[in-house]
Amino acid sequence: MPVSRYDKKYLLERLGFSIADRELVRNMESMGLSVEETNEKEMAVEFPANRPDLIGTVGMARALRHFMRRTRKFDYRLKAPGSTDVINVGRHAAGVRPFIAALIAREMRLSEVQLRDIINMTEKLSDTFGRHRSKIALGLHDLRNAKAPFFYDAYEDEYYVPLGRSKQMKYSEVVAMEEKGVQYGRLAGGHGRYVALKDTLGTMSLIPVLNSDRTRVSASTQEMLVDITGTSREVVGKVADLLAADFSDMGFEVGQVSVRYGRKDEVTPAMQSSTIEMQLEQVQREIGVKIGFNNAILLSNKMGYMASLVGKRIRFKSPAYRLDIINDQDIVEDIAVAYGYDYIQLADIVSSQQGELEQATKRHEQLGAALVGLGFDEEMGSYLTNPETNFAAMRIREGGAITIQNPKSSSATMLRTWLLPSLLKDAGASMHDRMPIKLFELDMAFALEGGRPVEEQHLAAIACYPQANFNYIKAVLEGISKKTGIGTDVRACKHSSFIEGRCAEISVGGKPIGTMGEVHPEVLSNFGIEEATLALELNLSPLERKEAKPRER
Amino acid sequence: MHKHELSVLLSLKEARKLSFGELLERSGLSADEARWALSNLSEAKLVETESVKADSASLTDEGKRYAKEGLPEELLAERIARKPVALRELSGKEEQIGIIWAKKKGLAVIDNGLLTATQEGLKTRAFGTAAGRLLAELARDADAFGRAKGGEAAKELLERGLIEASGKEETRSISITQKGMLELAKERQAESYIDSLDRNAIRGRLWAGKKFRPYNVEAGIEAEVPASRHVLRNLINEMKQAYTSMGFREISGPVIEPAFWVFDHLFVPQDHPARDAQDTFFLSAPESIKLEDRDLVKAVKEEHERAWHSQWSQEAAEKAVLRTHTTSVTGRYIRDAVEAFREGRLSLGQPIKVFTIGRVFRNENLDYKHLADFYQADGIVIGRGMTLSNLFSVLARIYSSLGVRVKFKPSYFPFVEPGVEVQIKHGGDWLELGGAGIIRREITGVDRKSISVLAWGLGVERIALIRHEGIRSIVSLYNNSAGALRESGA
Repeated sequence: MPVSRYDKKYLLERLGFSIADRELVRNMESMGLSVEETNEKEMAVEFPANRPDLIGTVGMARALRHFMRRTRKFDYRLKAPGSTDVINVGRHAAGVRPFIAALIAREMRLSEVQLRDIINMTEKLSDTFGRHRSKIALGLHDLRNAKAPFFYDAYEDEYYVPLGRSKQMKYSEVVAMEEKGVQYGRLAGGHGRYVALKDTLGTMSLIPVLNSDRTRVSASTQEMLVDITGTSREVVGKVADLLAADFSDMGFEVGQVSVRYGRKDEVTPAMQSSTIEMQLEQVQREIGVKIGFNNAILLSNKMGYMASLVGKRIRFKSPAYRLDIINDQDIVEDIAVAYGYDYIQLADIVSSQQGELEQATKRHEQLGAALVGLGFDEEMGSYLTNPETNFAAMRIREGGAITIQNPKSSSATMLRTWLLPSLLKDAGASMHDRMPIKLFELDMAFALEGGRPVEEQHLAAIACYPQANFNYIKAVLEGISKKTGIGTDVRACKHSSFIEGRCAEISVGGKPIGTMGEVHPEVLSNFGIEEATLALELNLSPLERKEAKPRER
Repeated sequence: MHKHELSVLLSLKEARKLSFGELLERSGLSADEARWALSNLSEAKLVETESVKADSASLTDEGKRYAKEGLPEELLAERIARKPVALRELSGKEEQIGIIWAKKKGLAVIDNGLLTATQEGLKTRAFGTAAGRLLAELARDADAFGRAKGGEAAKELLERGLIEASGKEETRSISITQKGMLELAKERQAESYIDSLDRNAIRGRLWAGKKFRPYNVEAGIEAEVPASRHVLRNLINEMKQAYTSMGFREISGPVIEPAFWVFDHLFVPQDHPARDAQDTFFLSAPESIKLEDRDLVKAVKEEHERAWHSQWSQEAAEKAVLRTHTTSVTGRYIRDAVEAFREGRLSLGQPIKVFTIGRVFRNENLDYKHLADFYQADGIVIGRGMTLSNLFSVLARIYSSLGVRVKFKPSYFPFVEPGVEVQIKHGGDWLELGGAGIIRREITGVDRKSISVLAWGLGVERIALIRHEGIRSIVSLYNNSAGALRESGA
């Protein structure tokens, strides 16, 4: 989950009341946040990925004020757009980054801390929730040197002075040469066109890459345009709502902007909260506690909802700045959180269903016990391996493996097709330990057959000690076959991992299920083993039935 | 005289002086047998052994700590790998050490007051430094110093005071003493002592009138360690018992899945960070797995597009992955149960409870503290009117029977609402064990009044760490040398 850092002093200032550190942390934890670090200067808090409204200090303070019942502010009123507060959307944007929303904050008096917080918040939002600006990106512009109306489109290459530069650069140069250009340029367009926001004086921003220097914001900015662009009309609109709430909470006047798609006008931020009606019974049924009408309403208030009774139902108006509320289930959760998970009484589930282990587990238990009885220690290895270990070191031809497209480590590039390599590797690491080294593993191996993945349960065992002899591993096979009732047949075979003439194929009912023998000395050297070693591997899957369909009784 | 002692003396009689290896060859004894015999013989001054110091090294306290956590410059390289860090933020003592060595090794450069990773530094993330690797190796095997001592890495570790070279006695040459020769002669004449009592001796009463050679019954000896199941397997089996004794049935499912069952079916949006190549193993063979159930695919597509406001791609859902959680297994079961319920084959007169424990995968750099595959336990209860308080109750019961205390915190996972983070107590701390909640109806496709599903997916190895103080890290759970297995099994 993402982590946000808050300036402690500013957070307390936004809260508007004094509170002990411990109390603050306790409230945050109750809200489902996890305080990673807190000191004099700042707090680092892990918050749920679906709550971008908590990224900024203003939003965090708002949520805390609601939760601690210090505010009853649920509604936000915005100023309707003036005649020039218009963004005209051109037709070329549609193929790249179709949607834009915007708001204008006026009568601003920003402190340095406030400005830093706004910038941090918008960057973090673009980065996390905005999926590194691909889904959502935000831009801040000082309107002092701008002239409305505004234009949004994908334009042909042209010049502007990018933020922090003193001379003009082409869009194409910014994308190719500036740090942000290299990072985000691929989102700006293609085929010679670039998405940009302009006013009547020229480019305000190459989106979502770099703003213009002309409209750079500072603590002295009094009038600010915030643009939100992205790939979804709904999400762009909701993020505009969130920002409108933040700016409005900071005490600034927030004005709407008219976005003109062809002949269709859309006013943003719409600041529209959704209304969801629910029966109290549903809240009780899902949480499992008796909550009255009044209490349910009160608890929802703590999470920022406005709620009222409508006959036998409660009508919840969800806050416009919350992006995570899809339907009633989300409100139930919010009420449960406000109620406090720690206060929910435990209630047993009544069921007479009998527990049962899978067939395979039972078989594994039997086999495992038999092998431990024979003095074999169990190992548990990684399912991941590489062709060198799985094939080359075993002197067998590569092929038939499930392979990984994006491995981070060259030692884990495929799924193992058998278990013996990891047992031999462990034996090689055990040369200082007392002989005999006897190990087994009971777990999965994988193969690709006809383009389809095959998942099998295997048993493998090795015994390594001076003068080890084929007869012992055969005796082990006979022993476990007897003990577990698997009737096995043994026939001489050739296998390049084993010494010729000391290797056998094991089959059940005429079907080959495995191999055993004395391991080839070259294989032993490959794994750093210096004593004769016997090995056995069986595929148990043909012996097992599986039943996982839902059933009663 | 024991027969092994006799073999040693006989071998030495002709050659007078042998190396340990030669002795083994001549006597036909195993190394253990020969060592035992030699220690008795030299105590009795029948042989003389000459010892030579062998190379080994031991870790200092600081060295041990670094072997566990990584060298300061490696930690630093990790920290600055994504983003440069301002020097003033790096004022701790260890950080200072880290800066010095990172610069010296060319892992980082200082640029404008920012410590920035070099290409070499980025590589360090995956492989560690040479000195770091050697330190870790020495922590496991002090004798590795013999091979490494001439190298730069070894020099560095010595210079930094992270290791101390030390010697261990090793027998190099063995010779028989005058007293040994005499004793041997005596021994060969008088066969009046009985060494081991064999079948013949018992049947024929050959022992009558003879003495048994006395042994040194007080001599130290290496323990005979019983073989055992793996620590982690024992824990998993105990967990399975805990679940079945609570009436849960065990299920299992594929490790290799189309992304659909791991993510889409569980309402995880297609642009969710968990689906990045950074976190999930995507497969190249098979590259994709076709989705057969068209109705289900259509339903999932619609739910996604409605809730996440973005295009849903079937191609992305068909990409083959290694499951990142076993919730894919319980998810498939939920799907089957809903179908059975709709067709009237399932009444849900009482809740159905199932669980699965299996391997899951994260695309991690493998090192001394990171694994790419580990275990997860998933459980579900499918019934009518299942509540959050039922969920807390069932989890508290299962885990208390494993001797672990759990508590619950609000959290977010796309497939449950309410969402819960399950934490377990470890000493004075609460550690995250996994997630839980009530499955969203977007997944079942049925109103929660008719079917509600409690679900959780929790870690396994962490419980092993809490219960066994000797196990320091998850990685060490998977250290399977015979020595390590014997120690942990004992």
